Amino acid sequence: MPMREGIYGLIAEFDTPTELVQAAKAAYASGYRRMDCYTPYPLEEAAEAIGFDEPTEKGVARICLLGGLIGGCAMFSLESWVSIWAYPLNIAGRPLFSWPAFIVPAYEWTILFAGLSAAYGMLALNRLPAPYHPVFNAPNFRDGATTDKFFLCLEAADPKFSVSESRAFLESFRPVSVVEVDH
Amino acid sequence: MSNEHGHHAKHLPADLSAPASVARWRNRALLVALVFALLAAADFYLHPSDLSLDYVLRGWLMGLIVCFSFAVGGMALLMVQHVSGGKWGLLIRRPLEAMSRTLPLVFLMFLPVAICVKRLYLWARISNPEEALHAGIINAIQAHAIAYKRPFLNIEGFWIRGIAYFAIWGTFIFILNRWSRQRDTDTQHGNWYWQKRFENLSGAGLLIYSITLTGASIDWVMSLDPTWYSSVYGLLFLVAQGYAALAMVILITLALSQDEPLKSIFRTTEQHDLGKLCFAFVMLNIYIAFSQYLIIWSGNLPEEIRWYMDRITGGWGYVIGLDFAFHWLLPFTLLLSRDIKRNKRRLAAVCCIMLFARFLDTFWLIAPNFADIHHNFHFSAELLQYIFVPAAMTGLWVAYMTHQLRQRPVVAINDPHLSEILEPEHAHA
Amino acid sequence: MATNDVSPQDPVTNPGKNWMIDPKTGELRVLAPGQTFRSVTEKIARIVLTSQTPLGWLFGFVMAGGLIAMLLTAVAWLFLKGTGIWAITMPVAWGFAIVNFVWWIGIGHAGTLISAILLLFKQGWRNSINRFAEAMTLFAVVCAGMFPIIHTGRPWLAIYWLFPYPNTMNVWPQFRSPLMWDVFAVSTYATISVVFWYIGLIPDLGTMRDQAKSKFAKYIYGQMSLGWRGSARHWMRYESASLLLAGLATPLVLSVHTVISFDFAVAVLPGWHTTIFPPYFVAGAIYSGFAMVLTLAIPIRKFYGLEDIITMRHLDNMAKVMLATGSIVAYGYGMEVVMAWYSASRWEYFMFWNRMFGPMGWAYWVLIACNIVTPLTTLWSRKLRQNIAYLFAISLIVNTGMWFERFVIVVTSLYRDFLPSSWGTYRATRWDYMTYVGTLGLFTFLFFLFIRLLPMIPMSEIRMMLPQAKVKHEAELQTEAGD
Repeated sequence: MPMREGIYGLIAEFDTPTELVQAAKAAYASGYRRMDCYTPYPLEEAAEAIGFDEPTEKGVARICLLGGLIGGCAMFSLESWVSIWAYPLNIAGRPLFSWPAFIVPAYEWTILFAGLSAAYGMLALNRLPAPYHPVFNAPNFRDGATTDKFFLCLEAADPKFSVSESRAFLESFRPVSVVEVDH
Repeated sequence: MSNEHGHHAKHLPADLSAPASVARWRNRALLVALVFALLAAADFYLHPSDLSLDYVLRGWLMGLIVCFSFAVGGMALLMVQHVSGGKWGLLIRRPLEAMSRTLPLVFLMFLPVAICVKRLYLWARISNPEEALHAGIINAIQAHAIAYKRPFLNIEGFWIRGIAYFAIWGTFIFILNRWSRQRDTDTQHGNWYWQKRFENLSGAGLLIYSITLTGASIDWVMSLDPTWYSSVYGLLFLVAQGYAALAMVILITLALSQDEPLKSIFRTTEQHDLGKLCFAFVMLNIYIAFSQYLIIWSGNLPEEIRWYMDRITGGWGYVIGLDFAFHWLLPFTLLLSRDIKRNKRRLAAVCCIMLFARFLDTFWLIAPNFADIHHNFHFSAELLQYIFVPAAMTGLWVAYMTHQLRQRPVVAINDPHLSEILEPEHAHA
Repeated sequence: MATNDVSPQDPVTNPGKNWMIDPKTGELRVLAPGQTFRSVTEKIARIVLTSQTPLGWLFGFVMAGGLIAMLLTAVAWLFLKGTGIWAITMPVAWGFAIVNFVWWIGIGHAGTLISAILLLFKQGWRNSINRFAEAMTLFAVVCAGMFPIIHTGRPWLAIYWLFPYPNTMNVWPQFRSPLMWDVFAVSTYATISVVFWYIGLIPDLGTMRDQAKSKFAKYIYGQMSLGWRGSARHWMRYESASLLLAGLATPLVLSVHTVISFDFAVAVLPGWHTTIFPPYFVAGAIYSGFAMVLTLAIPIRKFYGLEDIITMRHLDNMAKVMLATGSIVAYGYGMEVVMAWYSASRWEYFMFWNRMFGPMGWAYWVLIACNIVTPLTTLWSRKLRQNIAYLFAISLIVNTGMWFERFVIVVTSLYRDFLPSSWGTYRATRWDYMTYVGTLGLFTFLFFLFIRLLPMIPMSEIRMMLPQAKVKHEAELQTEAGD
């Protein structure tokens, strides 16, 4: 968890995605690691620039696969148990273990569990819901980050961070503004 | 991911003709065809029995269905890529056109089946169902079905419809290929003009293809058992045909991409899309096959379920088990992985699995229709004809296809997607 | 994504006749040129955030509310008297309830198709319409789900045979019945549709939170947005979750209507028991769903002036999808007829003869006229596909036809079965009609609420489609500097 003292970081505002990506790449190249980009729509280049690679990370995909397997197996076992042991019934002479019929609900539950796992897994990995976050304290953040502006935030928790040097570094990319972000 | 840092647009190579390696494939395919033809002949002469010729014909039918899938399925995919207009379509267009131009060879393969229709098809062999029933050759259900379906299942109809189907497919293939050649050299009209033209032809073509293919699938395969019927059969056959043709065209394209000119314009992005398309076909195929099974299994009606009993019980369970593994389980599990879809070697391996599955499935559809082996899967020397004859025919088909592939540049130009394909790809597109 | 469809070099204002046609390709544009991130955001958000509710909206809302009152009356009477107030009896034991159920759930499928399958196929044009198509899915599922629930007569007593849970009677559901499969298919479908829709809404709710002026709206949208802040890492996981959900929703939507077709096909009744049902039901569902999207999109884009975002290209593409799915449906009808003869079964043959020429044959011909003849002969024409009034009419015709399709399948297969002595007929009662029309009101009511309270077009996805959304590479920057 970030320290509660001092500032959270410095946030630079850009008008275009290209400028943001250039600045983020340069920051990564010069050794910054604790930073984040904030964009109004998904921008793969921005994530790459700060060294994040979801296809390689595969976090959400793994959770989803696991959820699907659990759901499918759970339903198929439940159906088999109910039909063979708990409440055996002769339905039109079909065998008690009617696997072709059991596949259908098992399939539905595979998808149900996989889908819920993907959604909740994504939220959990993103640490959402998070109604409070320091970046919202930047006065220009809320009108832009979800509409038409592109932000790069260098966090104070980074060992390379220093208020003056990092500010100079960010300003070298001609941003619209560079603002200190309070906790 | 090789172009991750190269952000410069590539240029089309000056020479777009097929690489020299294609000639080598042709020679190899001819060799395979020759070897298997010799094996088939040896099997025929060394193990003579009453059924020797029948098995050669059955194997021939299987080979016909497989090669037919490649040729006419290639035509159908060609139309699909014209209609859907994805960038992947441009990469496989010329291989698909080459596949479709093998139709004359497939027609030649069809002739022996049509000539020997009486040896292969029960409804053609039995001229008088009433008498055959009394003689104990067929049962009452078969006698009723053969007599009832006579207006449709008769030898003249088989010939007329067969020739009509080939004529229709041939017309579409001719026009599609001709236009494609004109488009390459056309400087007058914008590429959008051609796009629209192809779209309109292909839209109508796909409709006619679905209808004619359904007819052909009933005539050539389903009617081997004259009593059975399933209304989704044509659609299942259609999807299976797409499945086979797609696996084949991806293999051809991957092989071509080893050398110029395809080497420099073949991107991982499009390969990934083709992999996804494979996945879609794998799912679609199991979806229709399983729903057909579930409906017939649940209904358990004597006139329908027997068809499945013939090919599940009595040793056939192993065949269908293998079929299931190769048709769905293996490709499904493998294609889930993004890395496999993006790796040339691995995707090629998956396509080989898919092709093998089509051979196995065609065998499973055809072989159990015959009284000497249904319900009772057993090995005999004749059974090997199901390997030898189709393998020889496929070898011949591949040789002819490579011949067609060399006739034209392997990249179609004058297409709106061409410039996009030459753009550098994004690492994670 | 289809960023290539919009060229950045175009003049911002071009009132000419052909300004919606891309000069590069000659094709209709997906988005009108000259829009900025802020202009699209404001245009879409304003519809919700304005304090002025349009009178037309109020009028429609109240009308729909009136229909809901009628629905409540019909359902209350049903619970008091039992399902005897409906027209169902022997031999037609399944009537309007199942017809409406299948019709509504089919309509819902287009929403999932647009949001999932078209996302997988990288069809950028879907972005303008996916949000409200998904909303349509949800509300259609609500309407659909009502029928199986109320048709039990006393739904509060139906739980133990619908859901597998340990109860004091030690009774468990019967998993070999397709009606049981339905429970899982439809409940999964409803859940995943809600999740997919909500996940899609999160970034836009963040925008709404930041755009809202009133404290109350800020608070509500803030809570609903889960604190979305647009972090690049979040976006990547978000994108991968969206793709996974799309990948799951695609086979799900196929399976849902397949399971519904099993309700019929697993029985051994001629007219129901046929293997083409699964794909042909799915195609029919998508067909009617796209018709419903058109029915909704055409008035909405006019009313709210969204012609720049829901363009002719969208309408044209939807018409093309209808043409394709309608052709599959036609193939299905054809195969049914062919196999009714080819099966060599007299029951199959009689059922089809009766369906076409029996006392209720008119319903079959209505369905052929509405589903096959009218749309499939005319939608080939590019001119007609781009005629808005015609498309609107066609969308209504197809929805009528698809309702009749289900009616024909349910009723004409039942009313004359194997024993002539048990033949009967079917005539819906006023309660049947009231319930059906009432669900139309419920659907409209929910849709009006949605339009007023949530952004009906996904803003983040529209931003992504604008030409300025692309990151320029060094090479491009250099050429620009040189110019």
